[in-house]
Amino acid sequence: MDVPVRPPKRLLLNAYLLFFLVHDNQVGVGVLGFQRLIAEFVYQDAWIAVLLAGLFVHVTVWAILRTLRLYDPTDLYGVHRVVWGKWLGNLLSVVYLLLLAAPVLVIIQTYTEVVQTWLASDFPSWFLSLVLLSLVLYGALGGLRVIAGMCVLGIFFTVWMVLLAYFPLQYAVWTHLLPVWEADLPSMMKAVQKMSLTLSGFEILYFVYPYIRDRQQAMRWAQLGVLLTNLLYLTAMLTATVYFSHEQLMRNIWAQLSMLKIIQIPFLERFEYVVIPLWVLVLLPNLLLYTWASTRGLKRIFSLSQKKSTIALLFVVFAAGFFFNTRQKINTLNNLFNIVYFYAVFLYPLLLYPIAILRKKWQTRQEVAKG
Amino acid sequence: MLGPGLPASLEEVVGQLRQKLPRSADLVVRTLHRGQLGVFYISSLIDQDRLQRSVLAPLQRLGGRAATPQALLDIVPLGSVQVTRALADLIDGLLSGWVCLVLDSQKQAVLVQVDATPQAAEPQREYAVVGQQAAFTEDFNTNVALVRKMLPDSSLCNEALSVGTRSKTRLSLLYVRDIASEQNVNSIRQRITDLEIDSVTNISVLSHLIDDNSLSVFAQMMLTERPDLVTYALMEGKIAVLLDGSSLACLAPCTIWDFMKTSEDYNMRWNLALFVRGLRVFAMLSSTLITALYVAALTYHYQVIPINLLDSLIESRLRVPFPPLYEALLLEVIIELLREAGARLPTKVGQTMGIVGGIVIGEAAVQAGFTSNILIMLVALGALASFTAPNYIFGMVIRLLRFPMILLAGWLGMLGVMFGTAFLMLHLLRMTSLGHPYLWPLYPLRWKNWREALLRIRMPAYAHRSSYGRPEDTQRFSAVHAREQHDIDE
Repeated sequence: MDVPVRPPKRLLLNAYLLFFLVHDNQVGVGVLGFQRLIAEFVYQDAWIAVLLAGLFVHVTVWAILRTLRLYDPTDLYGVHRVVWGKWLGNLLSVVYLLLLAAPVLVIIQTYTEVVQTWLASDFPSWFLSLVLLSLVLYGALGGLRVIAGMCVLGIFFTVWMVLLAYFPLQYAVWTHLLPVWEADLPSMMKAVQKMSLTLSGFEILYFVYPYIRDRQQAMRWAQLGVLLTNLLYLTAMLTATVYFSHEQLMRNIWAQLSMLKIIQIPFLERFEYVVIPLWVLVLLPNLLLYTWASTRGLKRIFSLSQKKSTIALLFVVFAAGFFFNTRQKINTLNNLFNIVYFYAVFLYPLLLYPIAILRKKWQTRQEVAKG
Repeated sequence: MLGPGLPASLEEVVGQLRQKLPRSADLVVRTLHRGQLGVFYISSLIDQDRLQRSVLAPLQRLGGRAATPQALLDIVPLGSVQVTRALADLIDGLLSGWVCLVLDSQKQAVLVQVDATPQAAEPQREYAVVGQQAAFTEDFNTNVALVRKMLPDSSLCNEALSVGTRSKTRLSLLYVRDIASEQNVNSIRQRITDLEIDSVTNISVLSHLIDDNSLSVFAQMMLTERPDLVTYALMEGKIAVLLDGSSLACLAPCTIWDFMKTSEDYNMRWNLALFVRGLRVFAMLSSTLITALYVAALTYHYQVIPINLLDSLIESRLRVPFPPLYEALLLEVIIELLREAGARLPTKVGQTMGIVGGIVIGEAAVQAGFTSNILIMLVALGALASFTAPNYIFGMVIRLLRFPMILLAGWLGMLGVMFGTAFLMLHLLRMTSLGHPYLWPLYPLRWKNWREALLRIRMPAYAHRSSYGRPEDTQRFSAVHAREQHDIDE
């Protein structure tokens, strides 16, 4: 495996696409129901937790891009190889690519749960995952350019939903937000950590970075993408806090969808029936990006054909779906990944960056010594 | 005298002509009188009969005795003649259908007007209320002449190729040399010359043979019968293919938005055109989805319909014995039958059939309790909307897409419609036309190009040429002048 990644010029993407890629990969099923998990610990201060977690993401994204810039142009697999050496590096890469494949399963299972709860309780899980995975296969075979295109179209078709916050805000009780900053630090930290699965997705930067044409612009667009996500989550959290009382919010697993129920326009009501199917366009970029990044790793480390490994991966995800057939199991899966992702996606880049710097310095010194 | 003058020797004149008008298959160069007299013309623009009788025959009789331009003028029995010393005049003359007679070592040329008026047909398939009333015919030379007349530019190239090992059908590749990218021209030429087929009888067959994705329902090359659309396309850097015996031109590379444009979009004032174009895009989108959404909502999600509306829906469906899916499919098939029967019949019978189909069948179906009023309205609206597609083939695609959408809606409800839409999006994202993305400028996102590709705004905004197809000359007119602004009373 070569450390530098130099894709052919026709496959390169403009840096502004990172805005769409990062934002779209962050927003997924999580946003439909994250409010309860946060408010559980910090009550009316939940929006502060969202804000803090968001700031944390900005820092992590900064660390990710600085790490990549050290060995430009490369991806995480390349960085692992340089920093940790052949064996440890590849081992870490394999762990990471497995972590990237996991969200494909988590997202599909969670979405299935949403569909079965809200739309049709008799919708067979395996069939839903079969359809979604076929779509993913068709898109992933088109390569990163098609995936990025799906992110752009997905955002165009779903961004208007922010305006739907207007309806619940008509019933807002703003005093729900008072008093501000009542939570103590440990519970605030716990709430911030609970945001990790919802906020994750920016780690895709580690893998798409070498495919960016003007990489010096990458930082700006990636940070803007994260900013948009944070604003969106902040809006969602604030809306839920002022719309529901704390007790109500604790009883609503999918708070975002519950809020949509009250919307009425002359020819349409019960917007959750519109929004849940439309959410396919939000999920699809996530599924595509994670599948791509994960199979990309298989190609980088083991030189496997990405076409074949994509088919294999999607098949494994399909098969694994049969084991996660109850609410309990899916919940356990979600909780587990909340913790694993907190370490792998939020903390690990912050650890990797200083080590990569030290490694780079040590390397240069050795080269100088060699002459 | 403007520009360089004519060189003395005839050979040099010929050389410079070939250099200024390269790749022009219809440029005819003849020498008469043992190399003393050169006769040049562009054959597609010329009235062959008049050329024969009034120019070539007298010259033949003269048999080399005319050594001066005056002598040539004396023997040509035509009114419009001109003597010039400038090469530019000579080229302009050639491009507007004049014959040039150049004597060796005289540094002068005699221009004689023998142009033919190309006999354009009436547009049948792509009618425009405001705009040119000309369409391509089945005569090859006329078609080339129609384009050449609209674009008498020395950069307009006309390459002659032939296709079919048995049919040897003549074919013309038209493009503007300094606008169209060389890469596109090469790739389309390569695709045509690589074809190994016994005969190609129609340009649509040719376009299917050379497109990027032959599995897709979407056409990747646009077929049009309007010379004005071809001219606009050439000015955007596209390439036009004309085939002998076909009354359509094939344009490439094309985006999906090109299929939604009419020549009226260019001819009307920008605000009107923008409104109409918006309406058309909306119509095509809703035509694809409207029946499917009805089926999905009524079969699975009646909750999304407010109670007052639901009342009238239920009332109209009270006597209908079928589920919405069958009801919708039945009506859609009837509409498609009507359209297909109408397309096969002469216009006058077709009208009668429209009445029979539309009023009699529709009315009777409701009376008999086969369908509901509301669905008839929706299906008819959808059909109407699909007929707003400026391109007949594209309208067909829209109508075809409704069927899988309706089936998905009847099977999986709204989720099915979204699966269909998502698949369609991925499909369109994967499509290319001559290697260029099909959804451009929506993706790859090019905000600056939205004004010419998606929108239609006022003329000064079009100083830059659309970057689709990577044109070589990027400027249409001076942007500085277009941006000039004045204060009040200045």
